[in-house]
Amino acid sequence: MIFKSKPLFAIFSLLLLSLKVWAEDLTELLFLQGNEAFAKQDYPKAIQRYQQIIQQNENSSSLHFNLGNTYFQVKQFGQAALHYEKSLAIKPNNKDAKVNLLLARKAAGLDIEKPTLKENFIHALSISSWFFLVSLAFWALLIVWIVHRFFTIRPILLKIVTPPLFLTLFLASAAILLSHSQSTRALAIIDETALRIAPANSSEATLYLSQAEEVSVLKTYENFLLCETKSGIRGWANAQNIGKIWD
Amino acid sequence: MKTFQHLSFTLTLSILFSAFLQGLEVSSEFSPPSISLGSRSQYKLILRDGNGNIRGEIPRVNGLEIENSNPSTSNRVTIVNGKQTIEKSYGFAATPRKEGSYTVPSWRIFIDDKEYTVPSATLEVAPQSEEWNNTAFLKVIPEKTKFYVGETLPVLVKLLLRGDISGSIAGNGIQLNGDAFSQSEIPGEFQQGQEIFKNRTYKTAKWPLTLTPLKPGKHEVSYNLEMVIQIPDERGSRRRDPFGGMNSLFGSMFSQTTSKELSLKSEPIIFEVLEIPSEGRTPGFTGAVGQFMSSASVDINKIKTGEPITLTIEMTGEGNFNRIMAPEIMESDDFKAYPPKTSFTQTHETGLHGTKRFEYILIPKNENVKETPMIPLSYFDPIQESFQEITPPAIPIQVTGDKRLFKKPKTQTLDSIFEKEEQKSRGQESNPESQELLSIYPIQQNLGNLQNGIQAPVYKSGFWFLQALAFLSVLAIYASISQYCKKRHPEYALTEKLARKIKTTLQSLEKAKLENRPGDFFSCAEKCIQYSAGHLFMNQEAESLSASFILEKYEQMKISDSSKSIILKLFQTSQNIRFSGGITKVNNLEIWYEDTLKVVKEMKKLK
Repeated sequence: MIFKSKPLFAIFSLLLLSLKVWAEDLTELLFLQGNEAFAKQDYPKAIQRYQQIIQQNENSSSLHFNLGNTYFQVKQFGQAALHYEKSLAIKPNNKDAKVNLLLARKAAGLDIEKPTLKENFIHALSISSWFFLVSLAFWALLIVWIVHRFFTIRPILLKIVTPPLFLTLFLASAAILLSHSQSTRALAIIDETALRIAPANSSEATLYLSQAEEVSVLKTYENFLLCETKSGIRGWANAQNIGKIWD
Repeated sequence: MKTFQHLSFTLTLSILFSAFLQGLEVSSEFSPPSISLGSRSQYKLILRDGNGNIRGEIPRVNGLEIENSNPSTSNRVTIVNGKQTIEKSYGFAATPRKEGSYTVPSWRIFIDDKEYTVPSATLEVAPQSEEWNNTAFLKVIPEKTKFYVGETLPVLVKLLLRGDISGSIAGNGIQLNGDAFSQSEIPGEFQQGQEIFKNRTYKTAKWPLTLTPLKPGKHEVSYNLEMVIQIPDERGSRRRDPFGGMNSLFGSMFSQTTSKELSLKSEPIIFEVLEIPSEGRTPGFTGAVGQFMSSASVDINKIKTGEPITLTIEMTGEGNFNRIMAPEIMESDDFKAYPPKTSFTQTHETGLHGTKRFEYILIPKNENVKETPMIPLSYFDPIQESFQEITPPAIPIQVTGDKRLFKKPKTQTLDSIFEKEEQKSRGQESNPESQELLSIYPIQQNLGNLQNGIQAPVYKSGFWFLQALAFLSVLAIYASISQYCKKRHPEYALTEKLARKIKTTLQSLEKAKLENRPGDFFSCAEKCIQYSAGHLFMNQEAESLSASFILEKYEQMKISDSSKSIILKLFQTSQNIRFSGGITKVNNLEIWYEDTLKVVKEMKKLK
């Protein structure tokens, strides 16, 4: 045992807690400073403050949303769209982010498409929420089985409880599987991002992406990412020009 | 006992001195006549009204060192009633080795070969501590001793050092004893001065400080100071003080000194600290205790909605500025308010006087805003013992125009955006407000829940740890319930046991069929039926059940006729094989196997 006495453990815990509280206060302060700079239209400072939080590996839907807004104001629509996407990845029901994402895409000169049924279904809940539902349904079914194994349950009760649980398990699992296929999504963050035949700057470009244009990242090689557009065209892009939505 | 070095010296002042006048008088004395151990005195030989060459020898005295070289000389002329007297004195440094009384006996001196008798002189040496105690004092001088929690009290800490002594501060300087107070920063340089204390001249060092009590009650306060002092030996040429520098008190006048470390402690002072009354406390009270005035100003008074305006609230006066918190502005429909920036400009070294400034950034949300919000402000006056309201008045401002930051764009819904796109694709003219589409939703003010990275839980080890934990918990619950049922319910235990036996016997049955061992096959088939019957009727001794008993029981449960005939045939064939020593020939075990399974399933169904 590292802690031979309870007081020592308590002190250590308190220390950790106070450090955590301190860190949270600092994050909150940076966020407020970012908002304040935004209000004063000091967008470079606002970006700096928000990025400082992200550098601490802290993320929230609001943080990415505000960062997206800041990039929008400085007309970096690729970056803006990327951070709206991140905001939505954390909180898919952030309606403000949905609207602003569309506006960023539009401002970047891209066509706006209505989301498909599949996209609507996947984004109905956050990935964490889908996982939560899968876990919940799975464990509930397991418990029902155990209870059924040892105790007498009325068949009607089983018929009422089991199907919704199975349905939940099925839908949530489907959503996770579909979401997983989206974990490779990324956006071009600058205009005219070249997709090249080979992972080298000297290689010929097959396509140029507009900022905020969506691609899937298939592979990484040194500082290049093998990307595939929605139309199925593949090419290597410089990693600095592509922003992945998921870590 | 230490060996004392007895000085033997010859006074051959032939060198040098000329005697004065006729009628010479000789005397001697110690100056000062009483000292403390560790200090020095001076043995003085005084010639009055005389002059000439001097020869003689100062007698040796045990424990008293009288230096014979370089005596200091002085002349004094006095005129009384027109008669002039001239005194010439020779001073010899005298250092005692221990406390007590030292007498230099009378001795003979020759001046211009004329013999004179020098009278005896006595030096009293007191114990060391007595004298050192009067060397330095540390005093704490508060303005008052009764005050309130949070009130800032000026206190003067004063060091007195005997005028003829130099010294330097050791350690960390003055140290506060008393955990019920917070103290202002100790100034880097102290104020120097001089004053008479107990009829002696003392050099002084002063530290003006403030104390702020943290809790009510009676609390004792004192200060400590470590220092090194140098007692001069009053000889030799003057040199630089080896303890010079920031902490040196007034510098040293003497080059040859005796150093001593002193630990000074001030007389403790008991402060009575009162709780600030809760009655009459106003909403704007944020910890200010003292006497204050307030004022408010804005940097600009004509703005547009969404533009920031800086509202500055100033508190000027005397009090505990370091404990005054910024009053909060609650966000309203009129203003978005940000936490204020706080600054303090002190006009007194202790920080007791000055101006505290709170700068709020406010953003008006609509054009109806006519004035800045009122920020309640008050303080507790310890003299009047009551709260005083000093809320500054609201400042009129003019808000015009609009700004998209706080304006909810008319078209900010997903449907409206898609509608516009469809119109565009159909080639319809967009309305004049189409530019409004680019009005994005404003920034969000709450940071919300923080998370590390943007990652699906499936990639997080914590998620899998929790799942594993839950799985183990379910396993444990299952095992516990199973054990509980087996112990408390024999029927459950029997059911479990027979279910296991049916399962293993069926496996053996299949094996016997495949290996074409009719004896084993029918034995297993019989047992399967018996175990299934035992499982159905909760019979402990299932293996002893006969076909007739089983069929009798099944009659009541309406088993099918085909099953009845299978059971009978199975039991008969099994007995035939058993009693024929295994020589009975049986064909087509596959059909028997299927029939057995059919019966077992039917019996399970009946259960």
